[in-house]
Amino acid sequence: MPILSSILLAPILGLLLILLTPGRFEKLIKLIALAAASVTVILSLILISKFDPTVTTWQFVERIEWVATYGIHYTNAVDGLNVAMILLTSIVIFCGILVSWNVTFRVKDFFANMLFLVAGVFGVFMTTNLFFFFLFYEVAVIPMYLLIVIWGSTNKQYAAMKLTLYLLLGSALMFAGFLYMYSLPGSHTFDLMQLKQNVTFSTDQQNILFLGLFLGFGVLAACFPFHVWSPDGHVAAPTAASMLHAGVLMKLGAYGLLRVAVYLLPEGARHWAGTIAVLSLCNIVYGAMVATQQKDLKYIIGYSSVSHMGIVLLGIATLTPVGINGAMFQMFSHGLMTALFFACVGHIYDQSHTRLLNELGGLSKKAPIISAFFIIAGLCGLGLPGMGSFVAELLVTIAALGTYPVIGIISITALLVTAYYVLTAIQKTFYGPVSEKASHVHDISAFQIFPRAILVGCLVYFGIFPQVFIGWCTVSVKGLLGV
Amino acid sequence: MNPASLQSYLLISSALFALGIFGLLMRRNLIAMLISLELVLNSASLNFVALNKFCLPDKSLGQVFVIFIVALAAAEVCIALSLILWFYRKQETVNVEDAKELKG
Amino acid sequence: MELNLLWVIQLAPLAAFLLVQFLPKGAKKTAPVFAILLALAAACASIKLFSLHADGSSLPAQYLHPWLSVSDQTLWPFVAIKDYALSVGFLVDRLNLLMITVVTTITFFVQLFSFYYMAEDESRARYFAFLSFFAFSMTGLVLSSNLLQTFLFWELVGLASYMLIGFWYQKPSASTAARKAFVINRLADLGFYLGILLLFILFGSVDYLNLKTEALTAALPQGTLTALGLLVFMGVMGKSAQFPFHVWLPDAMEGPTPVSALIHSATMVAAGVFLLSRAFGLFSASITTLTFILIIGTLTACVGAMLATVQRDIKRILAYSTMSQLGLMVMAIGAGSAVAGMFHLATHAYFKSLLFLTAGAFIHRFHTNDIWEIGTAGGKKERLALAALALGLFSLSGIFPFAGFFSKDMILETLHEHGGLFYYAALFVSFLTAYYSFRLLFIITRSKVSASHHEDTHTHHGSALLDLCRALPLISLAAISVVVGLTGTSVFDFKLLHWLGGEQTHLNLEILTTTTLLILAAGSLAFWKFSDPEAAEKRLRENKSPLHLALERKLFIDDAYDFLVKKVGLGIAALLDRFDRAFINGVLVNGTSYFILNIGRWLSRVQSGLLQDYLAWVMTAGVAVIFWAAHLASKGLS
Repeated sequence: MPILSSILLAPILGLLLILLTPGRFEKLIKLIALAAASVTVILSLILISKFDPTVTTWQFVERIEWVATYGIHYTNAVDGLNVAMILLTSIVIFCGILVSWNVTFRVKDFFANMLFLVAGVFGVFMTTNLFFFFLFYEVAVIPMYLLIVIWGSTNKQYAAMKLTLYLLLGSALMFAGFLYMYSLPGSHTFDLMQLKQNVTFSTDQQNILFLGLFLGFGVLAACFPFHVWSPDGHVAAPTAASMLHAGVLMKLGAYGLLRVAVYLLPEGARHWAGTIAVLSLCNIVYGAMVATQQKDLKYIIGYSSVSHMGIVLLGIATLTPVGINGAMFQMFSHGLMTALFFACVGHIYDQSHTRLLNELGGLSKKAPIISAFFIIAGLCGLGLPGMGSFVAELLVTIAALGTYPVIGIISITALLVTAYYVLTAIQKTFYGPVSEKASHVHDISAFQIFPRAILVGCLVYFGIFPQVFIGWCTVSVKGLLGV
Repeated sequence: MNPASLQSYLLISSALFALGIFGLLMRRNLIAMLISLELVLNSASLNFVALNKFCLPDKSLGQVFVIFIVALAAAEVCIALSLILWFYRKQETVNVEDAKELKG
Repeated sequence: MELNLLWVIQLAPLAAFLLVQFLPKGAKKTAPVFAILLALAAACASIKLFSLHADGSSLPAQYLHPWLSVSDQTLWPFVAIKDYALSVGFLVDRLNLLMITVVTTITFFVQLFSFYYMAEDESRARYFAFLSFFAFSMTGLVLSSNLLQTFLFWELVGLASYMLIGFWYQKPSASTAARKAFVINRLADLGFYLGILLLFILFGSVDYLNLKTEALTAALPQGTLTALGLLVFMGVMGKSAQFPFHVWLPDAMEGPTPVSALIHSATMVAAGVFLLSRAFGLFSASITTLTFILIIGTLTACVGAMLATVQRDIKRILAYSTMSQLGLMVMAIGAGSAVAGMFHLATHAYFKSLLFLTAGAFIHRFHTNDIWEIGTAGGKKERLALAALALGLFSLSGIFPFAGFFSKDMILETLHEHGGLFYYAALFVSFLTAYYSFRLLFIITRSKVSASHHEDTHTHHGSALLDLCRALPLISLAAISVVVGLTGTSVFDFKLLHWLGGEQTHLNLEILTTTTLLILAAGSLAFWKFSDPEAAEKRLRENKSPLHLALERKLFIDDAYDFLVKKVGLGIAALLDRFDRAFINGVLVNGTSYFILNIGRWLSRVQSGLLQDYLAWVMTAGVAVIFWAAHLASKGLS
């Protein structure tokens, strides 16, 4: 069985079934979506259990000739870089669908869009053909726009347009880069492996191409100063879309940077690494500082995402196996963590109709379980040991201290700022006397505990046994860097 | 100037063309614009005939074209007039400046 | 056998935490039972472990498990080390056997006392869960085999402390104090973290067994070692409330009193001192570091003791006293005697938790923290608590033969040998310590009991079980406080200090007379000022010396922090936020979009909808094309 294509097809199949179901059978539609998501979870678990982390070659390669004349083939394959990302995506969509069980407005369209979105994300993560990379990316962007515009909140038209334009700008830049690579002598293909084998890039070409690709992927990864779309998008999107957006969509940029830019253009990467490191430092410290000033819970999480994506970029910029392993780990644990954050904030917003810190307060009294989950996510965010983020930040910091000592030392100060804003948010939201708006809040049901508990479980598991994750990707990372 | 030379024909036809274009651009009345358009077509017909006579005296290709143009002009006038009539019924005017509903 | 015992010590509190967390709602009442029983199990296991190793054989023992292999190749050109791997595991030696025994026994007594103290609180289950979580993290910290693992649990005890300080989270002061404690500890931990990572990168290992002075001096230059030592010491300064990171400790008294007894006096705050002796090899590798440690310890001891003399809140007196005692321990280690520091840590842990529990007994009984109010409400009628308080205070002031005497004596002797002004600073501190101890004692015992406070609080004193839970910890801790001091002398067969690798204390007559005279002087001074508490209070209200005022403002250190955080830190953040909104989002992003929209709007004017305009454009373009073609043609011809 072609397992990768099955993972890709499960949401598409679910999407088709949902489209065929009349809109009034809401329960059935939700069940179909959940079934599709469960299939992806199970398949990605099987994938990861069969995955052999000790070899650098591609595994589970699936290839169908499509437009052979132009070197466009439908090819899927995994190695250590994307196998965990596929797992992450499936976990997040599974939890996202469970969390949005209470959606009542245009249920059919909502779940159809969610599945469409996630199919695109899976596609980006598993394809090895740059044309399909671009194609799937576009597939992921459009449903995101619809999800925000139809089901969103807080200035949603503006945010949706901003997000879409940014993402399209990023993908346009990266596609320009792809086309340039395609046009080089000896290339004439979009296939990653063939590009790596057949094409030799001159130094100038590497530098220019890497810059273009970095700008493209940097926009997607919310690199400073292209970060403003992401907090706005986070805030406006509905809960499940925020989870996918912050949890997975932002990771596509960093993943693409590794998979395409660093892999094909090692010299360009070395040339620009210093610049990336400086920008990522801006992300880390600046994002954290700005987060202290936010009044809206989701904006705080939005800017914390900017800050945490900075750690990913810093890890990549070190161009050492330790740093890139740390970046991979950070992508994974940050994905789980923000998904948890948004799953909690979504519930609070549904119940109290506000996310403003000064209107909330005393929620711990009214809703202890959701508070506990939020606090756990917050603690993960401030890099508490025992959670995935701690190990990720540890690895990135070790690598950064060795490669860019000054940047590494400055980046550590963000830990303090992060602690400050996370604890302030927790204090204002959950502690103190019960506020007017918080007094109507009910705690989550036992059923709704389940998806959040999965996320917490993963965070803690990978925090205590980090070697499991590192084991998946370390060999491929070394292969990527050619060491 | 020799009255039978090609130049004089062409001069007259370009004068007609210029008059027609001038009318098209300057008049706001749709009927007047249609009449100006006829002038442009006539100048083209004159060109055809004249060039046929001076350049290919043993063939009648230009004259055939003129027949076509006349037929085309008749059809065009039919359609254009009916459109103008419809427009007049709708807007009670034949001023072209009022016909911009389709502007984006 | 031994490994199993270690696992019991480590995991029993965690099990209690998880059990209590996942208890069904109806069964939450039974939470204390699980917590107390499992704490007892851990305490028994650690005593058993201690007795197994009482002869000191087969130590240190290490049980390691690989945790994270970071790299197996040379990473950086300036470091030759190839293998970087982090492991987790237990390291057992004399130092942490002592510490683990102290921690688990005090945890047990505090849990027991909490049963009495928190009997009427409705979130009891949460309380016991976090107390158990603290015990888990603390044992992890003590048993860990390397610096990074210590840091891991170091943060977790910080979390437990955060949760317990903010236990009554609906009180804004409590949640603010909790946040303050965490953030200030985080500030200090930045240095600790950086130090560990740099040590890991440069030295290749953070295992305690490898952190030997000789190995370090051979591998790294002196300047680097000083820097590393100071960075790691920064963490100690945060956790052990050393000047200037001490500001969180008094505020931490917002938590329930048994929490203060366990976390903020006996165990967690002592973790810094423990770390100092644990990684003594790193600190002693540089004389500069040791001197710095000594200076910081001296400052802390003096500032803490001075601040303690003006407090009215019984818990704050004890908190500042804890701070100054921690300063003394740090001084001892800075002067080069880790044994003296650890000995004082052990004795202090017992008598200070005893003091906090008596404070808890008073507070629970009279519902006030103010010592004058406790006095007038009838504090002296609480015989048991009063006796325990007196015993604890005697120990704290270092009166012969109570526990504090022996350990403090040893520190003084160390400082005496070390020379310099530090010895006199320590004498000054013990003078102040005796002064505020007697002040506290006199105010409580010599106040006139006012008639308005009748025995209205006796109503909820029915259960014998509760009384037992109140009395047993007080009596046991009092007994231990007496005995533990004697282990430093030759009274018992078991020679604690020998075991730790130091020399037994021998009575130095010179120091003995000096301290006794000082205590007498301090006692008389306190008696002179506070023998009539009412009059003293009136006097205080009427005129305060500038020094007194400055001390009440906590020497303006809190104000300085406030300024740095609120004005400087948040000011910069506000500027950056403005920059983000106005420049990046405003000018760059929205500006671009307005620019493009305006171009579109301007260009769309061409699209007037007028037929004749379009025709004119067509004609113009046609003419232009014709001219261009003609120009090209003429060029081709010529």
